[in-house]
Amino acid sequence: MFIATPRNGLAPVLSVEGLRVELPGARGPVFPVRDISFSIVAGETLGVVGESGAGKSMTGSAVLGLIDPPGRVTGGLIRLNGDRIDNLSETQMQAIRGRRIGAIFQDPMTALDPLFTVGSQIVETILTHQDLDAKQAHKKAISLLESVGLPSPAQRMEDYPHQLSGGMRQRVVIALALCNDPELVIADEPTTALDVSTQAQIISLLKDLCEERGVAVMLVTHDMGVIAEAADRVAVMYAGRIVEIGSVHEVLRKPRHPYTRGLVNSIPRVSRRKASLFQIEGAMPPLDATPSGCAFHPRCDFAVDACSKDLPPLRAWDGGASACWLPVDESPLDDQSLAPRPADYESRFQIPDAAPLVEVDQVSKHFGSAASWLSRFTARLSSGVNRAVDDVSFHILRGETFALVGESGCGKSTLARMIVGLHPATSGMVRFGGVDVAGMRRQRRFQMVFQDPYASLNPRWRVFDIVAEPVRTHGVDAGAGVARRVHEILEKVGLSARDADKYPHEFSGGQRQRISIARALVSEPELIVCDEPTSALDVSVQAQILNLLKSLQHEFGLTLLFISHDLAVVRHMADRIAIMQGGRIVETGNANDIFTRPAHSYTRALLAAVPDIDVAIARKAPPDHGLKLNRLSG
Amino acid sequence: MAEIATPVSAGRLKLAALAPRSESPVLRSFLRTPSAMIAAFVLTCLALTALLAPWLAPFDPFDPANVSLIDAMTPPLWMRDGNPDYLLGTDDQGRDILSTVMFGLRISMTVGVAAVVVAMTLGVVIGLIAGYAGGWFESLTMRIVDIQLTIPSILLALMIDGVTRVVASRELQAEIAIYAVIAAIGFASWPPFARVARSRALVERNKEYVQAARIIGVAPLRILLSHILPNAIAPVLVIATIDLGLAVLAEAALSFLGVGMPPTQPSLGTMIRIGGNHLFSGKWWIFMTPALTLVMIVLSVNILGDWLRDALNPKMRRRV
Repeated sequence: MFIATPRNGLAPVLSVEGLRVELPGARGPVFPVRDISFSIVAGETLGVVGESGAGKSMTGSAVLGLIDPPGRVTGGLIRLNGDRIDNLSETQMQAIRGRRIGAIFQDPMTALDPLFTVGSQIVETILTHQDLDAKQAHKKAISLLESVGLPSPAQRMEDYPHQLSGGMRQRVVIALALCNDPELVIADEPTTALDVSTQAQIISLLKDLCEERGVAVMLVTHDMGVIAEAADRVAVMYAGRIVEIGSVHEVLRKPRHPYTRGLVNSIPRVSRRKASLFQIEGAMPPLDATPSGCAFHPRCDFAVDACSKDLPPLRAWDGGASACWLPVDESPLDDQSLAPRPADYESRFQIPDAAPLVEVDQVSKHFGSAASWLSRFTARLSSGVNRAVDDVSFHILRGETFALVGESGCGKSTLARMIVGLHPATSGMVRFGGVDVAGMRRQRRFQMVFQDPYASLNPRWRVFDIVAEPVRTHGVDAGAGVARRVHEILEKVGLSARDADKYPHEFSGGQRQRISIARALVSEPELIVCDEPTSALDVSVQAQILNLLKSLQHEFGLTLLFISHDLAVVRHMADRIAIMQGGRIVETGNANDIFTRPAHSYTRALLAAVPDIDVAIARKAPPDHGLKLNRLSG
Repeated sequence: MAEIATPVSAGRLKLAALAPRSESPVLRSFLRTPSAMIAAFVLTCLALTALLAPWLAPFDPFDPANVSLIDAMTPPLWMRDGNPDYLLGTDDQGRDILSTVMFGLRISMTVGVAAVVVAMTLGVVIGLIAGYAGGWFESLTMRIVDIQLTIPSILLALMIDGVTRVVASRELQAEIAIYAVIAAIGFASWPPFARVARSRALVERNKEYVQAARIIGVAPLRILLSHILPNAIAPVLVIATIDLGLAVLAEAALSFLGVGMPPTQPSLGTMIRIGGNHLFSGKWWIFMTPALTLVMIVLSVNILGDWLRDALNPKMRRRV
């Protein structure tokens, strides 16, 4: 077994050897984590990255001793500065959690107790583990809050969690994790629940604090951008195993494993626009159907016979190791093979018609003004009218992709729902092809694709009925014609006609999003509104869906209204962009202009906050703390 | 340990294997819950007995030819003075208790099921419309629900029952007694259904699949019936099951108070009332048989309802 330890000879703070986690399944036990080994030294950040189901969070929980029964750790050693912690009792682990290992979780709201002030929660955590009196603990808590960058920390001590913003709450959680000077911090998706602009601050705060205090960090995330910004080394997980581990600079710049390469190349970038994204076909296998040999081989373009038979071991190269049967040095994974497979639409695609298809004319939506008499009364008492959308005007040209961009709560989704007539506008008008949308009933000219692939399909209907609903409702076709249309469109979105007889729960998130797209397309609309269509999906699946949308747009001459918080995705998709903030549009323009010459300060701030992999890698010095691989006995 | 554990787990495995693997998780959970299976078995037996009472019962208790006052108050077979003709003894008019309980079961269960159907239909229709449409209809119906929930339902049932008695003529009373009781219990117990149906409709109407249907232009009635109702029905069924036990009890209570089913068409409640008169003179069997039957119905219905609530709870289903 190979264990990667840093070359500079420091003893690792955390060392994990052959960790294995078992869960009971309907057909025998499944293994979300299989023989994982890694180590982290003081002051170092190891990023653990992978798509959902890769086992990365489970690894973090195992180190914390927090695997929920009936799951359990069935193999391996976990050492914290030389002490074994995998065989400790729950009581012994409690003394270690919060004292020697700090934890930061995704949602800062659930990590803090809403009934206590943030100060009292930090003080209590300090008093539980340290021999200090209340006064000293209070002092220490204030200095901690100061070090995580909370303004006027003495006053913030008295605040309750709900009085703080999401970013401030996550700062408090970081203070809480660091308050007993732990040796190791485990951060599980610490920025996923935050907006882009706060994300960057929190990442750099976490990194700086831990580096300064010599704390080892295990950073679990699905986001390569976060890894590129914050991690020193990265472990890429797939189906419960580490497939590649090494310095961030090496792994992201020159990934050796085909999965890592696909993953890195399927991420849309803010800095450059490609005609289409590289895509890895398929999705991560479910836990109870992990393929034999290398679990990635069914999705791998370079798979050879050995891949399906034998498990490739982690093999070292200078600065890292990867688990692939392909020779590391003469890897066929050159950039040629990574060229996008679908044809290049960019060169052929031009905006064919300059006539506006959608005109949004001084539209506003105020909540709390047109509700029931009772809430009208209470609203008057509190004089609270929420201007979700405030006097917004723009137009969408036929055939283009128009993107609405903004952080959560900026009103972009409300605006989208007004455009398709789901919400009536408080004032102003939306015209579709010159006709007021408010008066349109039983129309088939626009359709919508939603964010949540789990809520957007009726769980009790078969896929056939879901996709056929628009056809039947509008009487477009009947009898065998319906079946023909449904099967045709399912094949267009990359599913098969056989899938029509299944229920939505039999599909993965990406496949459900394909069904959603099929339902939107089947009535041959002119406009499709996509509300964050990929934000619930994994990176490799996101690339598939974005490529699909682009090729369908080209094939059917669709107009797309694309709503997203993700600037990189917008960069990849949009022709023109409107930036929204607080219910207003602060800037509208061509995608190129907005990304290269942003005019509004908010746009510039948003762009600056996006973690850009290429920039982050370029900034990172060539590895000075590479890896040496030691062969351990056993 | 292992020797004891093996047959049990083997039995479970066999039962679980009865269900095809792709079957619903509810069925799988049923086959793994012995208490639910026993309850379902008992309830099925009772329902079959009620259904087949005219063929199963040794006597027809409503036929005066079968009733002889000489045989009145015969104790059960295994007691002194027991008569082999009357397995469980007779009541104060000489009617065979076993037969009377079988027919009483028939009336009790009919009333219970019908009352739940009335309450469920009323509650679900009102609740779904209120949740989906909102506005004045929602405000009005939900205030009615609030008000009705402050009045004990048995009191309300007494009132509805009393009103029908006043309105109907004496001859008509016996004839419509069963409908009056069904209506009384049904109208007294719709509010929980309306509440749950409304809350489910509120949740579902904001889900994206309903929004998608609205954008497509599907008519509101069709959205309610084909999208929202199927997804809202699970918690309603749980309430319906538990409410079935309550409805049977309510009928028994009404009859016990003498305002439910008349002694000529005795339900379990009527029989408990009659038996109660003789309880302290040592004639316990007139009381005990209908009472135990009632306990069995309500207990098994409640166990089933409890299991169903757990089985339909997505949080319980999250196991791999």
